[in-house]
Amino acid sequence: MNDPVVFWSWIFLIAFVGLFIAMGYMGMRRTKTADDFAVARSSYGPWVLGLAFVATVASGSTFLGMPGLAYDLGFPSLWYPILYPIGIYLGMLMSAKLIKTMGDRFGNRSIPEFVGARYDSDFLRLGMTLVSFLLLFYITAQLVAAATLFQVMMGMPYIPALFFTAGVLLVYIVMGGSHADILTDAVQGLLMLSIAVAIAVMFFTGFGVEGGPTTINQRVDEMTGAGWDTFFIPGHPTFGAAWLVILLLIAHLPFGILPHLGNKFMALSNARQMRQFAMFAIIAGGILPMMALGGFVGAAVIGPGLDRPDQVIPVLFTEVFPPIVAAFLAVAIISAVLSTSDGLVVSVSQLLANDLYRKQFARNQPEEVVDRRALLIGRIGVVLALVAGIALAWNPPEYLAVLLWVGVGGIVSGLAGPVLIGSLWRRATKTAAIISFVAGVAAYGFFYLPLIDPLGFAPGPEAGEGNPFAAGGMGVIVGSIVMLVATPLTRPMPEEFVDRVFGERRSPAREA
Amino acid sequence: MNMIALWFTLMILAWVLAAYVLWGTDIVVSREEETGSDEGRGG
Repeated sequence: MNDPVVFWSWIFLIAFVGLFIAMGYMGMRRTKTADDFAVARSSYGPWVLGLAFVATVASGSTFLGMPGLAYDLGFPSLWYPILYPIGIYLGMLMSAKLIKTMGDRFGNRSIPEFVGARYDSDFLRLGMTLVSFLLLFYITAQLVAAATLFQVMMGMPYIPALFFTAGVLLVYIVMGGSHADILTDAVQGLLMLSIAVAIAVMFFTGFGVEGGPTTINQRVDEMTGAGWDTFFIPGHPTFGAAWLVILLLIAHLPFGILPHLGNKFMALSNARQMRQFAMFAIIAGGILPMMALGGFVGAAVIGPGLDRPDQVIPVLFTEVFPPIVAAFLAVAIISAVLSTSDGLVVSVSQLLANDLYRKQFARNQPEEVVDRRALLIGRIGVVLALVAGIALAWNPPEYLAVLLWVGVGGIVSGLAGPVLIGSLWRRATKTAAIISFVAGVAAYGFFYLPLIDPLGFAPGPEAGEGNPFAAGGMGVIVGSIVMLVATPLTRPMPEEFVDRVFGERRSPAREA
Repeated sequence: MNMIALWFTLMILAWVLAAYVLWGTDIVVSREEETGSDEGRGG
């Protein structure tokens, strides 16, 4: 990267960091209780929260990984940006209502607590809590991505860049918790949306490429052998056939209920705003993945030969824009990474403060004392989560992406039955939810870990081998089927309890 | 049909489906909330 870009990047970086810390301070002023820190309950309207939600969903993967795949593999890689938002937001429609309404009635502060309360089950809460600690690998992956960006764009050495990223997150999240997370995410989301629209416009107008989109397609075809008329790459582990991409879609259905995303529903001012929130998130969440089109523009402008495909977007910006614009866009991409990391850090802190301390160890203590301590443990938890993230990112594990997917895949597979189905089906029972949770997680391990690996989804020695989405899809299918089959065979939950969960009394005819 | 056309077709279909679920069913917002019950208040 050249010097003027580095210079302007520093200017914008300082401005953004200043803004985020100011928002952390605003968040701190709104944080009076552990509940404020954990979920910022009923505090934000649909637009701010919608932006925060889509910014949290879209991480470095959408902004660097997917354009990299597009540059490397050509048009069939678009299945990922096409299908992942459809999966995530459809899943959100299935579960958001119960998480919001029951979460508020029961005072739930996290997704593990919500799952435990939905079935009156400590086992499910603790199981979800333990599996959710694997989100630490997700934090690690984001820290590695941010530090690598600093390295590439601003010439900062890796380890100082790691500390710098974690330091910025630490300051604003320790101060403002969920409030700081949501406020900064809304700003980050707006920036990310603007960049994605700009990239889509560049693709469709053929910006910087003579001959427009047709030439872009020709160059991609020459480079990858997969122009826009190619739908699948035969033999590819993820984009090889229709059934594989359908599994990718299914794997993403429970993604929006991961602890750092599902807790956002509780921050909505009131349940009546769910329509505007969801519709806005679905539209914006469909537009953000258009970042992938930047990989094709990059292929046409830069040509083959990039060492690492996921650098295509930063390199493209410096090729086609003046330094000041390139620097602004590059710093905005760092926002994409931060907006996911901060939500993850808050969620991991709540596993300690809420799911373990408040719900497990401090049940019989006075609420005032518990609340004060939970707030403190939440803040300490932020520090611990980031220290663990730095330690893991110091020498990134060779199989970081694999570890990340062991966590995310395990959670989505475990959540599918109890939350997706249990949000819509009043009859869903506690026993069925426990069996479904265990079966979903076990099925995921069965299909993804290289121990058995019956369908060849396990990661191999080369980068890009393995298909965690397909394994996740299988976990979701198994978890859901087990839930549907086990529920009628097990004892129904008491009707009074189900009424409290759903907040309404229905006639027996409608319950079936 | 190419990948780009497919993308926009599926995306718009998903938006229409979401709008139907949100405004045409009570999966996400139930009628009680619409008429202004206290759904969502802490308790």
